[in-house]
Amino acid sequence: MRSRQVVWAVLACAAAVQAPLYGQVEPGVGRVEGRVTHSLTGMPISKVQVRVTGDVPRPGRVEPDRVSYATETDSAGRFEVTGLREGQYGIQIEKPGFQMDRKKTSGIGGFRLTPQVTEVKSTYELSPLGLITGRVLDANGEPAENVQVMALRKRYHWGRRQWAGSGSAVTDDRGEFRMWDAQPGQVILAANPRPWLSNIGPRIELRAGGGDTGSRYEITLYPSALEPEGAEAVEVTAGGHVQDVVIRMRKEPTFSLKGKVVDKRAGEGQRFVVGLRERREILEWGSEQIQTEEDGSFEFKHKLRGRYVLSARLPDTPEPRKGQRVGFVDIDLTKDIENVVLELKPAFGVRGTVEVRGADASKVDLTKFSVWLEQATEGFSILAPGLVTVNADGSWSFDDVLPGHYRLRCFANWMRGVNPHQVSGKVNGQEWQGRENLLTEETLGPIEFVFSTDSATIGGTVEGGRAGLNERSMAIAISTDEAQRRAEFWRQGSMDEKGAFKIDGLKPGEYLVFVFNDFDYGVLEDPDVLKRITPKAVRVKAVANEEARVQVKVTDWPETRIHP
Amino acid sequence: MRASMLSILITLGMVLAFGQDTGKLGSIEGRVVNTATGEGIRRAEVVMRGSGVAARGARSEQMTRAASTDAEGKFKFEGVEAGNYFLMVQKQGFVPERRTGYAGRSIRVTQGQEVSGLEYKLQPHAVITGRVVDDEGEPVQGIAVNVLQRRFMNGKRRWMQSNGGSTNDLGEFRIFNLPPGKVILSAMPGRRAMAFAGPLVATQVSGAGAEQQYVQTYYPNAFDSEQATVIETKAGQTVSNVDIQLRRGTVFRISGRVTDPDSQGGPMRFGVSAMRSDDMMRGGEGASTKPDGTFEIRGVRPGSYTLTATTYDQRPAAGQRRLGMVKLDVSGDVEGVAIEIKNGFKVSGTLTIQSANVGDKVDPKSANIMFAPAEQGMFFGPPPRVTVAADGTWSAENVVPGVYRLNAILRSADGGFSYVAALNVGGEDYLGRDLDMTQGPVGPIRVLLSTNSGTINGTLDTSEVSSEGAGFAVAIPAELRFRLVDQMRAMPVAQDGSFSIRGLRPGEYLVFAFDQYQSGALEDPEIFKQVDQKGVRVKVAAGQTSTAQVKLTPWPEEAMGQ
Repeated sequence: MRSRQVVWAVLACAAAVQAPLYGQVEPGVGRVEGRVTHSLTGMPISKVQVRVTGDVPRPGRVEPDRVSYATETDSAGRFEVTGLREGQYGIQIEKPGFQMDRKKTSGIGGFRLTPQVTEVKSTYELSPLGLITGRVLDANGEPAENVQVMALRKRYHWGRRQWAGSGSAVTDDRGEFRMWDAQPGQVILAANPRPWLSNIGPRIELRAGGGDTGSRYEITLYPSALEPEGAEAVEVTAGGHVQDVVIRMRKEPTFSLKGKVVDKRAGEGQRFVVGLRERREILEWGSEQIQTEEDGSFEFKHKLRGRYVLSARLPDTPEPRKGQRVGFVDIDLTKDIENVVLELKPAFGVRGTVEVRGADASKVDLTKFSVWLEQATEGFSILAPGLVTVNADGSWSFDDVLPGHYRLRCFANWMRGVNPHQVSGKVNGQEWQGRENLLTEETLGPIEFVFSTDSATIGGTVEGGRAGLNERSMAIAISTDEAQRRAEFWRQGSMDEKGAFKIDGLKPGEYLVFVFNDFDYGVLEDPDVLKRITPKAVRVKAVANEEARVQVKVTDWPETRIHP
Repeated sequence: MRASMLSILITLGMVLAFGQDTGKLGSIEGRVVNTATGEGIRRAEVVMRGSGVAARGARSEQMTRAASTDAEGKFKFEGVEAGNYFLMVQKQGFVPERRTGYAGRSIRVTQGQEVSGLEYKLQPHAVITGRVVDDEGEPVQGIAVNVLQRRFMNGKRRWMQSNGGSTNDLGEFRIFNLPPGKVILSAMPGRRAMAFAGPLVATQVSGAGAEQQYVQTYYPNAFDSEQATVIETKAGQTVSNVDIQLRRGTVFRISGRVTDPDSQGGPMRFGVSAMRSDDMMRGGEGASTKPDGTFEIRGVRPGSYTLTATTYDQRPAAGQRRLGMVKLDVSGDVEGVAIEIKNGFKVSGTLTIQSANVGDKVDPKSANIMFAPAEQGMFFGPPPRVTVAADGTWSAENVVPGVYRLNAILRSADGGFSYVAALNVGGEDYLGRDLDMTQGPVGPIRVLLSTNSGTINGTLDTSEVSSEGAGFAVAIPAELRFRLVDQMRAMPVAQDGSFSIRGLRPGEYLVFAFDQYQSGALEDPEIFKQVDQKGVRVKVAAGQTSTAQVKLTPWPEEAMGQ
């Protein structure tokens, strides 16, 4: 990367070359040109891959032609694509070791060529990724080869902490790694022994006296932790280099899990499919599936300590859920476990109602409502029923729902003149909104969604108007009610050309209002992040059938901290 | 390399049927040695697989035990039940001395036997380091670099991928765990590792259609493997500065249209791929059709290609893969290629199982009938699924046109020792012949599967064999046509020189014990000629066990592929 900056100045400024990747289309008169620079140094970047893809209408055809052009930047960081016809184009620019600096880039959303607009100029800034180098050692302090090291950044989803890949590398025979695609920000580093590739030390060791149980290498977090709480955060900066990171792999005991599947409806000799899926927070290794013996017994071996979901089902049924029977149980594996009994239960019907209250309730068309049943139980490959439309009388139903953990949501599609909000969503009298709950034939009771047309609105302007905003700017209202803190309750409004916004369909109550120029739910849902930015919000009380007015400043996008 | 190991482990599973009574336990003891220094290797991993069948009853469960060597390189497994085991040894930074790709051997333990003095040799690995640069000498990041070794496939030598790596931000790569030997290297633009998927495109217009882009380049900067500079690696050494300069080569376009007689006018969604049929180790290019069925594949290097259009049938009842295929040579842009999607057809037949003991009933449903593409590298999508009914009739739906090779086995543990005794197609004997179904189904296909197979129990004269062990026993049918029907299986010879080859078709065999083995090499008649005189002729009768006394045959140097 560094040597590049020297080379560009020396090279002659050859015109970038390009050609359409698809379609023998007659060339047009349109052109796009651009320049790519380094976000830190302002220097041009050469050999950036540029791809222009467009939909070009063709006379007499409904479907437009899809055309694609590829070129690369020259030594002055410039590129040009000519011969473009009228149409809507997208542009993709890419260079290994760099990422697009979205804040400082124009034209990222593509461009349109018309008889009036035949020429487009744009500028792009590429920001360098970070570099992390270090070593991975095995339990004996010897270098560990073929270990995958991943940078992970913290994210939240459905109120649960998750870790997203943010760079990766594999150790060589000296145990060394060089991760040159780490995204800036705080990360933790996970070393994954990848049992199918790595051969660091014995993977399975004998306990005294023989047997099949023993120990094996576990995913280890820098410096030598199993849980994120014990991991050391690494600060990656754009173009920066974090050196001498040493990860010591942990070897942990393994256990076995034995049990039996019981199915009162099955005939003699029926075999079942049993799955054991890890519920680890970091890098789930996925699940293992086996078939039971004819008496329904099964055994999993060499499993590391941790939480699992153990599930059982019939082998393939003609339809995914009809006629299927399942059973599942959470397992906390800390020692060898025997005699787990899994009883299979059949699918059942789930039905409920939607009711709308409020002054404009009579204007509401209930068929504009949908109910979504989303599966939240890990370990099942059988998909949940999904989405149904509510009937005109407010009733709805799902056939063939298998017992499991589900999220149940109801939402209204757009209706002219009314914007109802959800008051409650109860199963058996218990609030289900924002939760994952167990749904079985036994626990099933009436499911009632209640909406109201007496919604509140928050309207506002941004200080300084449009000037400080970009095409991704967004206003967001977050309820101060703890029960409504999750992202699914957040409402957002986009900016008009004057920097004004409107967020409607709100449940009356108190809200925090923010305006951001960049947006990522996974970051904002982090309780620590939300706590830190709360003082920057405008607090406003939203009243039914009224519009509360606010003036908001743009809040800088918050950074995620591994350890708050 | 890994494949050959796997096949040996699988065949091993079939040997594990020796039953003995429970009783005194034995042990296995040995040492892992560095060939370069003669010293023991500490903390090497020794994995023992197999089963003492007797103690575990009918469920011949595979067990795995592992141990680490001590400071002198010694290891010991105690409490070992009588049975057959397979020991594999590995240590980071070392590769097996034998070029079969793994360090392991078969061990037979009789009741209470203390097996000792085993020696496993590992040699320090070789490393290749270098850089990948573009045509201006600048480093290129994220490029996959592969090491290729000469290997055999169906009797033909090919450069086959072994280890690989990818370039870092400095354009550097480091490929390790290489055995000593002759290799070539290739860099693959467009097969970029990790986050930077997508082709490294730098196209240029020079006249109509002819384009230049970075293409697969062999060290130091050759288009073809034959022009590549061969690198010789030595145990424990690093070959440095192996710099590959990526080349821009001329690439062409293939365009045409996919037609589907069943489309009913709806939009077409096919994936079209162009795979090299003259060199299957090279990658291919692909594209999707537009809704009208037209397609254009770009960046195609000159050569012979098989174009395949596939889709999953969207109609609810079908849910199967459909396909059309065309072969063509590319030496310029190719236009107007017509690919017609052909409907799969039904193939049916009968299966009869001839049982070893009269009166034994074997359920035909426990049989597996398999159709595999006859030509290596031919791609027909997933193999046809054959369902066998209780009365022995069977059928396969939606078989796509092609030339197939049929094989059948029984699924039960015992049935692994069955063989296809007869294959009859439309009244004609087809044993050892491929089924040409390019124009449609053939049949009815009558399969006779026999469990009345023979066994060769052999011993190898170990007096002249090094302590590293004997290697592999192979039985090759004397009759030429059966060499095509019955796959050659190399069975590991145990430390005491014993071996057993089961599931043999009655007839005459040539039995060998080789010190090394590479699958696919003996299928080359030239190579087989070098050893065929060394084979011991053994007659195998149905349901009978024959014995063979063999001497060790050195594996022909040429058959190592190097």
